[in-house]
Amino acid sequence: MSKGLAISVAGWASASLQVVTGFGNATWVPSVDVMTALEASDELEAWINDAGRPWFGGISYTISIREDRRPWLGLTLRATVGSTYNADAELRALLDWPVVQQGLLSIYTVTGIPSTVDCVTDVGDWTPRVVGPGGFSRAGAFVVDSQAYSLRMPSVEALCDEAQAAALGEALAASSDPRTAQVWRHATQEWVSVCLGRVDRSRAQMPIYRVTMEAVSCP
Amino acid sequence: MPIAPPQIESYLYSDLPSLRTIRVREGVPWFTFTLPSDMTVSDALTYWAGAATAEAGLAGVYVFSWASSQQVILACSVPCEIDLQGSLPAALGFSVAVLTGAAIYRSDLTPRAIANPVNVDYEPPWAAEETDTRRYRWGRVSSRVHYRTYLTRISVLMRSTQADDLLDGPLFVSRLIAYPCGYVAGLYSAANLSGALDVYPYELIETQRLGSSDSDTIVSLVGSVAP
Repeated sequence: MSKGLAISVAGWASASLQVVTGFGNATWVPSVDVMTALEASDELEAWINDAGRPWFGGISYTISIREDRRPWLGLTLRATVGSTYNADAELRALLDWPVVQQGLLSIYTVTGIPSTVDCVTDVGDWTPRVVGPGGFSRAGAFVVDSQAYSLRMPSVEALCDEAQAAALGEALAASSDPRTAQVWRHATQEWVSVCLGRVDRSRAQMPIYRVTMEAVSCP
Repeated sequence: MPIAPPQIESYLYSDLPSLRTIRVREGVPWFTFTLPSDMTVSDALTYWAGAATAEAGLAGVYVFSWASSQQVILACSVPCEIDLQGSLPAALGFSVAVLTGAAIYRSDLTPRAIANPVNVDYEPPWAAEETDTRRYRWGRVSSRVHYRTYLTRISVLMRSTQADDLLDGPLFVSRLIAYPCGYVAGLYSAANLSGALDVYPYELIETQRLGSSDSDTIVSLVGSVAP
């Protein structure tokens, strides 16, 4: 159970997924807020279960991350009633999504999402600063709601084998400008969003690479 | 099944007159064959042999190849003459430019543009980029990334005699393709770690002699991966 990270990539604005059901059809187009594959999957899951869809109440969907597509992450979309999914070329490239899937209860990425890496990652110095009673407020704690205000830069580290290092190199070369990423944080078992700056790689011990990332938060 | 040996080879440029043309004849007239595009040495050998075999004015069947004996072999089913033009004799390891009096010719020098070294190793290519991370008022942050090329470091282990010959040629300073030991068809990627690496050398960073008698040499270079 490693999870990993998803790096922002351009092209979401022209991607689309048409969902065809017995209740009616609708097409999802990612919003301008979508920059990474995980943000896309979150938005798709919210959109597809929204009350505005014609199948609302008749079909429910879940999207989950697959960790059997190393060195990449994958996605699985499950439905309670079989549906037809028609992804355009852009979405197929961005999410490694199948072409047309008809009447299936679940579909999943083919080999892995190219802008993601399934590797061991961790984020340090991330938790918003919490102090004891009397420190900052009478209530006993002062929780900064934005990491950017915490005066502490998060540190992001990853360990990669050769395939994961190669996948990360490819994802960095294809990343968007400006660049963001979502990184899996082991300590709290959550994804955190960061602006991703300089990324350095060194050999820890063959064939393991240590990757250190300059990161600041995305408020 | 034998494991493919490591191999490195240069590209021969179709725009460079000294590295693109051979002439062949079995009788009186010469027939000229010029590379139509940039090719690796082994692809160029295959192209020239196919073109010569297909030439109506030539009766023989031509097979040009790179052999495990570290020689280029130019073979024909009938006696022929082959004229290697420009710098091709040195690139392919021949001491004379016009090969005559036989049906099979083997290079007698170390080819300068193709070799089987003892080993080839390289690291996963990495995006070399400039980053500019800024924090603004109200917590807004932005990270800009520019000028991304795709670099890697390649190390080649060879016998020193071979290294001296190859360092005298174009192999480490012009576009080259490196095949690792146990090569699997295709270019190197996260999905194929045994693929070939197609690079433009950026900087020859080190040549290091090994062994008590300096019998082996490691040549290390940084290359930009061909798009």
